[in-house]
Amino acid sequence: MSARAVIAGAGITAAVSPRRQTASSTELMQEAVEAVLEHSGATASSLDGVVVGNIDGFEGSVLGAKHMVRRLGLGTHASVTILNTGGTTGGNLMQVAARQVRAGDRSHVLCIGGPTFYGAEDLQSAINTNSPMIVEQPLGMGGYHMGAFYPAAYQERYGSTTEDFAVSAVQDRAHAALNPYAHLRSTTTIEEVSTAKMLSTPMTMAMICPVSTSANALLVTTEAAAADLRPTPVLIRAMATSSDPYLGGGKNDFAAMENLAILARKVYRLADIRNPLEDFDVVELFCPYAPMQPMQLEALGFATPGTGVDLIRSGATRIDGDIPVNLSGGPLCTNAGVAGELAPYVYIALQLMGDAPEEMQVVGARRGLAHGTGGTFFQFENLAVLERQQQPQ
Amino acid sequence: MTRLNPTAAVGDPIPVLGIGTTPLVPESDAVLDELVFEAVSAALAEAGVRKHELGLSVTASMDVYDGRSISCGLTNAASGGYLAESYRIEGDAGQAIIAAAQSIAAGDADLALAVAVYNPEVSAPDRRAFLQQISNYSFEPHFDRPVALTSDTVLGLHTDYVLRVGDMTEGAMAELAASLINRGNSAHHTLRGPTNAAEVSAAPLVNGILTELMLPAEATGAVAVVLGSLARARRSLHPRAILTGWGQGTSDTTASSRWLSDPGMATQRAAREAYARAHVRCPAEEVGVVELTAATPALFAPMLSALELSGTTADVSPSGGVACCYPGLANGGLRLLGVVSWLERASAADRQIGVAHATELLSGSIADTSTVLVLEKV
Repeated sequence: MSARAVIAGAGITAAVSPRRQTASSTELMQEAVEAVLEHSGATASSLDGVVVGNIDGFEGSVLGAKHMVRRLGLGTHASVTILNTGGTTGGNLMQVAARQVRAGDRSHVLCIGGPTFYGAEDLQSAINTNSPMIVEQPLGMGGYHMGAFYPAAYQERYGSTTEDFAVSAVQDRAHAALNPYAHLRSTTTIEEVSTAKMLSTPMTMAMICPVSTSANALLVTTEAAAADLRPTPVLIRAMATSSDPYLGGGKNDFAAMENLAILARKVYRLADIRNPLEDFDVVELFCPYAPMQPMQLEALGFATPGTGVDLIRSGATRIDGDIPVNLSGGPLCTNAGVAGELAPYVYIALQLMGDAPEEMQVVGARRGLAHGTGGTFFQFENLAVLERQQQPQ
Repeated sequence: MTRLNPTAAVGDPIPVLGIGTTPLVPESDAVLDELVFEAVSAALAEAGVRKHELGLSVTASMDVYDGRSISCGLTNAASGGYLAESYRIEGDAGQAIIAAAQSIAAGDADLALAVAVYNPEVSAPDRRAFLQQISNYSFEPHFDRPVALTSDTVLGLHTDYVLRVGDMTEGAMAELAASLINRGNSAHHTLRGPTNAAEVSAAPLVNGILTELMLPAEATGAVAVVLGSLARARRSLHPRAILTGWGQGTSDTTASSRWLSDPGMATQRAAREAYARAHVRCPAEEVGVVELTAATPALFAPMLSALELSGTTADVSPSGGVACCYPGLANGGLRLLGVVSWLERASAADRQIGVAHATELLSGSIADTSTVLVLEKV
């Protein structure tokens, strides 16, 4: 018998760079697990499923999830599912957990996002190994080279400047300054971002996510189970994923995020979202490169093509704007790999529960949108509409 | 008429609409996405389903075998994921089949596909060393890896334990291995020819008394399975069986010694879940066939016991099981195919329920995820 799935707890650790991190991967994950159990009021013994991710090649360890989970003191009764879909691993954790609950197989499933990049030596080389092997691999193409295809095409079509692409970086850093869990908490300026070292035209180093270490966790339960837990439950109203081929040539148009737009229409249809600007109270996007954010806002229906930058400049995406976006600072300020990918789901859940850090809490937020993307040329997308439920009296 | 009339008590009967495999051979010449395409196309064709009709595609594969990061990015379009719902599990095909079934039981999809692909980058004669190196990575890094724990060493240690406690003799192990290899000798996917206990014992030693012929017959390839909701399945070509129950369990690490004394722990958990879902009350009396994943002869009895099938009259591993063909992560799909094929051949006088059991074997019986699928004849 199918059932509804809700988020009934979230836990997150403060992020720092790998060089300054004093806790081990296991300790960080342990801290996140303890945080989610404390937040939810659930016990380790109540868990009947664990969904965890790792991205081999990107990590200081190999097959980390395989040996890590059983070291977290969660008991041996919960079955473990390990996911790896690159940059969408974290976002997919919640979707897989939700299906286990919706199918009636599990009542309390813990999603764990670990510090993927902790100990990694050369991430761009690792990313190169997933690129197409005829042209891109021999050219040494890495993540930000693939990421630069989009703004380069966008620039060609709309005449955008480097300064235009800097606006989301500046705003996300301002947001992160209010988030105690964020890694980069200092503010920056359009000039600083646009004059930083050019890494892959038109992206400067300041438009690219940091390498962070942190962990987080999310508890997905049945509605009935959530009734016994502490937080205001958050209903997983709609969720889905969509994929492009891994070849860059498989995309029709790099100046538009078409795959995300197709996914958005599907998820909005499931959730009966007709006017995204009015229907959402808060949004968290996974945009590890600054130019992605305005393009994602366009694909998601918050702005018309070519006007995503204008939307950000208008102030609409600030905490007091019409559609607050990435109040956490997003991956431009904290990107710990799988934990970074799960973070949009964690932050939206906290916002809707009313449990986000005070300075970044959107008062009265009822419906939110959480997003993830990754894979070769960002071929994978995931998206979920989350809604605050009223707790039974 | 599809004649789909599953047992009324089963909550979520999910018909198996199509199964496709590539050749399961020691060395596959094709690359990953070609293997996935071949298996998926065959499964979809058998089901009479087009890729764009799929509500979900779940892939089981592992980057460290595939020799590239995010290898599912390469295979995703071939698996039916283009502009569609998909993700990849790093585990055995059994987990992917369960994930696909869950999406249907959840009401999130009417048609779902699970595909597993296994074609390690390194070929013979270096493959065993390569696989053991990867296996070592799957162990806890501070204590287990430095002492060179791998799946082979864990299986060897367990075999030695069974010998020492007197549960089985070396000769009995060789007899059992030979018997399994011989019974699967006429099966479609077997990799080993007829043998006897003496040959099994005289085969090259791998760990302790374990010889190559006591361990799984390594194969490569891909297996795909298409599942459908009962409503959608009534409009499909010819459903092959009905998935009525599924379960999944994960075993403990070396921190406890249960992996040695109770290696069936994860299987037992998975079996209980699967039987509960399928309303199987007395497995030993109701199950007609079981396709078992017992990596060594010493694990045969513990796994049967964990499945509550000790002393059963059911047909146990008619394909010869992993002793005849072990396509790595695709193993769970092959075990399911074995059960489905048996049920299709079964007469009305035979029991109408089968069980497919799979474990990853990446780290032997440690931190190992096992799956149990219960199937009913159409």
